[in-house]
Amino acid sequence: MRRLIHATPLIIFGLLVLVLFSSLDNKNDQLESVLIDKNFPNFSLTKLENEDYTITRKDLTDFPALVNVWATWCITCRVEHPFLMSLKEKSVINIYGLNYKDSRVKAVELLKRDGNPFVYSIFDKKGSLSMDLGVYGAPETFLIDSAGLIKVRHVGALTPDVWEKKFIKYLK
Amino acid sequence: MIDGATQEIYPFDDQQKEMRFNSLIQDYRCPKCQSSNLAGSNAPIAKDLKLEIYKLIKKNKSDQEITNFLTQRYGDFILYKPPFNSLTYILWVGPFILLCFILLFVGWFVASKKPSTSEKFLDSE
Repeated sequence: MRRLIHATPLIIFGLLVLVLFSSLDNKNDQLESVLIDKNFPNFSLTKLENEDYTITRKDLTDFPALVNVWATWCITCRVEHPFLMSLKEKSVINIYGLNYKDSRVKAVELLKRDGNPFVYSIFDKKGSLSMDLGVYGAPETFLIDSAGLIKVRHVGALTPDVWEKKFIKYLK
Repeated sequence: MIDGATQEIYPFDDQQKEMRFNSLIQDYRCPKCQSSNLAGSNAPIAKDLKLEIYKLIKKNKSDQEITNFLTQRYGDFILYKPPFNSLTYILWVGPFILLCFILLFVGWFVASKKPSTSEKFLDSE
């Protein structure tokens, strides 16, 4: 008994080392979104492709759909671009773009060059809708289910692996 | 100011508001660079949030309203002082539980020591 008591600090220390060591590799910087199971926020912004065309929450139809936050200055967005294109080509799901703090000209040019996976893009120059969505960097991808509720928020590149693990279960 | 090149300017005509602004941006965490506060971060999102807080103060919003604005979008994560709820209770209660364990341990240790010292005392006599 006495021996056990004396060993207690060492055991606690050992457990602490294990816990801390195992979290060393844990690169989870994904913040939980507050908007899960909530409605997509209201907004009134212009279409990227047409500055005279105003889009609001009501123009997001055809759910389930993805809303993908992207920009030409965002390097990781280039990484996920081919996967977004493949989702579009296979008609897996509608993707709405949310062009985040970008230049309209550059963004339209890029979509011409690399292909446009989006039904259309919302032009959020000042990042106001993005702030309402709790966006803190691009790319981010939101899944809106058929009832119009946000079900998933993914921060970082959308890869086949992430798609498999986080998104697919809501599409069945 | 410390670094004139990167220091943004948020002009207030009311000194009390300016003080509130300066203290609020110390208390909110930057969602992008997660170990610094808004005041100490140059990340674009931190700049946007500082500007938003600036505007809200200008609109005479209270500290509570500003906190609500931020947590409704970025969650409790953005607060350096998290609220007490089902997710954070261990953070708040944990140290006290640990303290109880230590006190119990020390108490047990002291209690178990006593008889042996008096035995020794008797032995030496």
